[in-house]
Amino acid sequence: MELPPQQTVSTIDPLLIAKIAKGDQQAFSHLYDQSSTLLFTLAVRILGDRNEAAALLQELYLEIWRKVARYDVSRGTPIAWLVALTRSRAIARLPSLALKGHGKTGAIDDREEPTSPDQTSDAFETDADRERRALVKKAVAELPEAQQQVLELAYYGGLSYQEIAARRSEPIGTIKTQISLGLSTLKTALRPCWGPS
Amino acid sequence: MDHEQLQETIPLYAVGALERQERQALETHLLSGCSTCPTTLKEYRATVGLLPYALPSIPLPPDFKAGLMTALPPTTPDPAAPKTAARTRLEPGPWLQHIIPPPPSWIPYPAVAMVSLLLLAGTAWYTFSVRSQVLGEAQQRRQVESTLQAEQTRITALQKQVTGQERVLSKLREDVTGKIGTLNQLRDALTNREAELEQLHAQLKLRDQGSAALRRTLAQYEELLALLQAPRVTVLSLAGLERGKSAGATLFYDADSKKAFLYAFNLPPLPAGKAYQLWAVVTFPSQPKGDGAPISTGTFSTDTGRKGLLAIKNFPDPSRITKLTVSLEPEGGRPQPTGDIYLTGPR
Repeated sequence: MELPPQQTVSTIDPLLIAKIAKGDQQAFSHLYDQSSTLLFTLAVRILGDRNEAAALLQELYLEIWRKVARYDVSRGTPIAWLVALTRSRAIARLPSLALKGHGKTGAIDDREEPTSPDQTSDAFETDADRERRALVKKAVAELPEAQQQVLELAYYGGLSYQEIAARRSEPIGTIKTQISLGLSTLKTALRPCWGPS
Repeated sequence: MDHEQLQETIPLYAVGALERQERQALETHLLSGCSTCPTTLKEYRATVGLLPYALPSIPLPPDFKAGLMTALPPTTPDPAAPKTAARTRLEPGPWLQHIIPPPPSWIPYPAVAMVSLLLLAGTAWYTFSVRSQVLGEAQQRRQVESTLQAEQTRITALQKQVTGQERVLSKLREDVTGKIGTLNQLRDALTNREAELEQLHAQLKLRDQGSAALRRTLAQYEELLALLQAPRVTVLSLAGLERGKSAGATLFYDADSKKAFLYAFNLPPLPAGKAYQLWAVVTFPSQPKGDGAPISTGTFSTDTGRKGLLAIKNFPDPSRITKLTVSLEPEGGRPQPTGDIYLTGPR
C-alpha cells in the first residue's frame, strides 16, 4: 500500500484502520509513521520520562494492532482517537509512576523539552501539519497564563478541577471557569483544524 | 443536575477534569438521547485532541519501529469488537474506556468487575427512569395537544355559530328597520287621514248648518204659503228709502190667526254684527193717530239673494198701524230704533 506524499497526520484515512483490522502490516506501518511522533510527544509530556513513554507506546501500538476494529469512525478522526487513547493510557500510569517516585505530575514547568532542534523535525510531517502545529501553538499561547496552566494540569496532569483548585489554592468555581473559558476560546480559534469528522 | 448544568460540565469532561459522579451523570445524560450535548462534546473533544500539537515534537528512537513490527502477533478476531467498524450511535464502549481509564494493575480485577457491574446497573436503572419520564411527558404532551386541537375545533365551530347568529341578527335588524319605516309611513298616512277626517267633519257640520238654515227657510216659505191661502189676508207694502232705493217689502197679515209674514227683497247685504229690525207704529183709541211709539216686531237677516223673511205672531191689527219701518240695528235688536231706516210704509 502506498500513501499520497502529502497525507497529513490529521487526515489519516479511516480506510487505513480498516486494513489494519484485516491484518495489513503495511497499513500498520503507515499508521505508525504518521502518528508515532505526536503520540510519543504526548506520552513524554504526561509521563515525564522517555523510557516510560516508549514502553507505553509499545503496549499501545500492540493494543491498536489487536483491537483497532473498535475504532468508531463516527466519533472522530483516527488521529483524535489515537491521541485520546494515548492520553488515557498515560494518565492511567501516573499513579504507579508516582509510587515508584519518578513520575511527573503534569505541571507546566515539568515538561521535558527537546534536547536539540533536530528532535523537533519529523520526516512524515507535511506543510499542512506544520501550519496546524503553528496555529495551535499560537492559539494556546494567546490564552491567559492561568487558563493555560489549568488546562495543562487537567489534560496532561490528569487532575480533576477540585485537585487543580487544591493545588493552586484557588476556589473551585474559578478553576471551572478558567477551564471552560480557555477551551471555549480554543474551540473558536481551532475550528478550522478540526478536520473531517 | 438540570440540562443547563450538564451542558456546563461538557468542557471539563472533554479535558478530563470532571469528578467521577459528575462524569457518570453526564454520560448517562449523553446516553439518554439529548440532541445537543453530543454535538457540543464532539466539538470540545476535537479541540482538546489538538492540544498535543502545541508541544515541541519528540520523535521515537529510530529502532523503535523495527522492534514493534517484529513484536506484532498474528491478528485474531477481537471478540469485543463489533462486526462493522463504523457505529453511528453514542454508546458505551471504547470511548468510555478512553474517558474512564482502566484501573491500575494493583487493583484486583474482581473488584473492578463488581464496581463496573454496579455502575452498569445504576446507569441502566437511571436510563430506564429517564426514559420512562420522557415517555410519560411525551404522552402528556400528546394529550395536551389533543385537548388543544379539540378546543380549537370547538372554538372554530363557535365562531361559525357566532358568525351565523350575527348574520341573522343583521337581517333581523334590517327587517326591523324596514318595519319601522313602514310604521312611520302608516303613522304619517293616519295623521293625514285624521286631518282629512277633521276637514270632512267640519264640512259636514257646515252642510248640516246649511241644511238647517234651508229647513228653516223652507218652513218659513211653507208658513208663508199657508198664510197666503187664508181667506182674510191683508197685504201691506214697504218701499225703499235713500239707502235702499231698489229695496222693498210686503207684509201679509192673517186676521184669523193674527200672524203676519214679512217678505223683503233687494236689501243691502248686512254688515257683520248687524241685523234688520221691523218696527210698527200703532195708534190706540185713547190717543191721537200718529202719536204712537214704534214697537219692535222682530229682526231678520238676508240670504245670498238679498231676500229676508220674518214670521210674526200676535201682530197688531193693520187698521191701527200707522207706519212700518225697517232699520239697521245691532244683532239681537234694540228697544227703540237707533240705526238708519231702509224701508218704510205702508204706501
